[in-house]
Amino acid sequence: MINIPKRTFIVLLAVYAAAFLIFFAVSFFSYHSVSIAAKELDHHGEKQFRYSLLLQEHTGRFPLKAGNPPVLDTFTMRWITYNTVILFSRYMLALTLTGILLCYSLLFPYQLGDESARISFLQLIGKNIILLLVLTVVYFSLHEGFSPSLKKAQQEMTADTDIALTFYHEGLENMKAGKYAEAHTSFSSFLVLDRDNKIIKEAFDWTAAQMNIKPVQKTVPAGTVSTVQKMHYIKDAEGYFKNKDYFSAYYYAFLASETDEKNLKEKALRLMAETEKQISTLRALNTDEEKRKYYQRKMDAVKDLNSGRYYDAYYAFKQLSHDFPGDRDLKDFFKRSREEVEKNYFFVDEIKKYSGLPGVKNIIYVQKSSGGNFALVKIKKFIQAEDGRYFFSIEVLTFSPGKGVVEHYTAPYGKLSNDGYIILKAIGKNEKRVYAPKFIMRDPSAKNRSENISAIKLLPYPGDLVLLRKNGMRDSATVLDLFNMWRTVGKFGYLTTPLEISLLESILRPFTFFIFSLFAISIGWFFRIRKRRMPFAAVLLIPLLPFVLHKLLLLYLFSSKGFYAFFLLKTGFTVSLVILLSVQAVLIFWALVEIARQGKR
Amino acid sequence: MKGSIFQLLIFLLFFVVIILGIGVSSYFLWFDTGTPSNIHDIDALLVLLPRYLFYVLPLSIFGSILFSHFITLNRKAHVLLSWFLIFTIGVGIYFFGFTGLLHLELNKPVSQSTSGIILYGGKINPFKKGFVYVGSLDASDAYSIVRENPQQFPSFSYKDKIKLKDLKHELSVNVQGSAFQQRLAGNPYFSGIFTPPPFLTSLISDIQGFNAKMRSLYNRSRYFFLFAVAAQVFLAVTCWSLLRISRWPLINALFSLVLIRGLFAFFSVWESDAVQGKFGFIHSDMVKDNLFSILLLLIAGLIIFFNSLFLLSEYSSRGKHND
Repeated sequence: MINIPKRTFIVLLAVYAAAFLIFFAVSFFSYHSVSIAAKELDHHGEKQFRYSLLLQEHTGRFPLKAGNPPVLDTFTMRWITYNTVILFSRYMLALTLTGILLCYSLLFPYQLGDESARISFLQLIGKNIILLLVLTVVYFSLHEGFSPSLKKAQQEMTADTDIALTFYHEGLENMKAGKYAEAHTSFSSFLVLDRDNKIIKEAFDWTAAQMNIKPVQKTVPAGTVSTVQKMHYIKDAEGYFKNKDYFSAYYYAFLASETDEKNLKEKALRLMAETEKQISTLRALNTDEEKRKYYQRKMDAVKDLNSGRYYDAYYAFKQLSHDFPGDRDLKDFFKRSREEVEKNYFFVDEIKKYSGLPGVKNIIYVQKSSGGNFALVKIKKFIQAEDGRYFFSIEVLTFSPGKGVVEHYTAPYGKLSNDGYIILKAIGKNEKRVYAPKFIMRDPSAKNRSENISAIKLLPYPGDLVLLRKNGMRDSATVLDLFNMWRTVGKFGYLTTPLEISLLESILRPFTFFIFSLFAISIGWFFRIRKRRMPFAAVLLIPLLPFVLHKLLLLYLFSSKGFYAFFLLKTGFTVSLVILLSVQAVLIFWALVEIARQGKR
Repeated sequence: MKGSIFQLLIFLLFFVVIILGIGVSSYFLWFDTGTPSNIHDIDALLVLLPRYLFYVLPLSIFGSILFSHFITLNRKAHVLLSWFLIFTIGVGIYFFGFTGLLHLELNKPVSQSTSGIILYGGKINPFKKGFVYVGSLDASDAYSIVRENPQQFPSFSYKDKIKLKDLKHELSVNVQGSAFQQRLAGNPYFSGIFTPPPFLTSLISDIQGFNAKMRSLYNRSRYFFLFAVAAQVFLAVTCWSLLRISRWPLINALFSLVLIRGLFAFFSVWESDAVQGKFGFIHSDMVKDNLFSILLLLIAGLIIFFNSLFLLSEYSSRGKHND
């Protein structure tokens, strides 16, 4: 008597190993990559990079998936390995069935000969049930956990390649235009994604040399704003007044004046009046028109800063710092005004550098708020960068029950604040321009709010935004991902039924594996060879077995999906899950009965 | 005798199971991936069911014959009697089934209400032409509709109310393929989930071409049609020999399945302009119409010839041994 479980295991291992090799070869011959090539120039000027750079695309010998977007050549081996595992997990069920069918229809009957007629049910399956259970667990983790993660990683490789190529093109253009600092930044960003790229490293070094970069001197802040107590402000103001730094004295006196403590307030207001007087005197004493204008402009800017007109103060101090670069006092005020501006605005220059990147596109969701109000929010592009999360072309349509649409506005840019709001107002760092929401329709009863709108609350988690678009990421989702998607998308205006169908499909997979493996034992035994004669010609057709079986399994899974979807739509998720589990129990019972029946033949 | 009747019964049983399975699955797939208003639309099901059955009739006959061969592989039966019974009944079902279904299908065209765009109220509907949000729906109108035009910014346009018919017309897409594929294209949530696997799509496409040819043959001449039906069923019956072509029954069984799939693929190739162009020298329409059927009969004849030459004596003795 042969050791059936051991032999089954060996045959399965052999089938898996052969398939793995074939899938590796298929992946190896079907990759699509892109690399940067450099051609050394014969003659190049001092201000010219000594290489001419160009992109080269490579495809495998048999581009089976020529439609695949390319990946950087540094990702190629990883892409091939991941693809091999993905293919293996896709075909694992068919491969397992092939192994079992080979054992029970060819190898065991051949080795057992006449003994096969007397074999009993228990001897026929033996410990193979345990082996099948273990393989079911392996299959489930591979198909529903590991493989989707690898698919996601492949998608990330493609996205990273897109980003890297955008930086490459930007860098090249800037280098040609003599903008070495910008080119240097682009190449630096490229190297974050592909750090071993020698050609880009060389371009990076060359642009650095062209820029003649000097180490940036870190400046010690001229003054420290006390934020603890108003008393400290007044002391600071008095100190500045003594040192004849009247602008700083005015500023701190103003901060101290915003107190309810009567004496302190009076003292601060007195100091403010005193400093203003001193400034006026200084201005009057100065016969130089330019100097007088300087004092006036500086005073106006300080007043803007104190009265909350941070945006005006920012540009005024920026211009003053530019006109009077030696004034440390101005630098300090400029810094303070910038800090204030950043609380309500962000600099459009931050977001514009990411405009060429792909990001997550066309996000739409419904955002519910109190009183039955809700808004339809569209974000044309979302970028998650190292220095922040940015939004391009935001559109909001607000509904109120009974009134219909109450507000409709757009904002060209947005940035996520630390407290979960999308800041909708942006300003140029160097140009005096505000990028604010533009109203297409306003709520007549809330005009003031409409004019002042500067931020909206972002209710979905930024990481979930990728789910709130047309295609989502269902094809590369693990069971846990599906579960999270199911919880998320329903809250933001999407139908959850398709996700529930996908969840049922994922739950069905391990049962399908186990049940079909059991049926393969009885079917294999039913179609076994007789008379201990090896069918050599037919053996040549073995490689076709997994492909035919795979197609039949796809057919089964497709029809099962329709079957359980019917119950899902009729009865809901829980009942359909119970029906699914009951049907699987019946099928397992039937498969075991079939094995028992075959054992007696 | 007993074995032959058993095989015939297995053939009929499988045929009924396949037909029932297709009827039930067409109900699942067609009527329950849509809005609630389409559920229980039995009248529409009765219109569409003959259409589905008509599509799958030849495949159901071939499949059932093959299954009956599989199941009775190890049973003693009178080969010629089995062949005769299955051939006669198979041709009868095919011929009269095709005729009946063709009449039912022709008489009842699919109404507008059973096809087209599906919208979900209170949800974002992600169509190819852009997202559509519909606040609520009733039988004739949609309310609080927001449409997105991805090409524009601002992209939202709003309407308080619109006729459902007009909205669906605006959202309609031209999709090549079966009625089911067209309906799926109009149902954004389920189109990804219920799109058949590629091999099934190509099989459906081949079957559609095959059926169209059978239909034109039927319209041209009932005799030509009967000849074609007989040739096809006869080929399926002779697959009995293929199930015994090698000493390994498993491979034989899979080979037979591949052969049935191959028949439809071969038909598509046969009907292609490249192949048909080679027969330009044949001027007789009668020969042209029946050429494919003659070819199938030739293949069936070859199978029988090789079977009788090399295998018959060996397997008849094996059959006795096993029984």
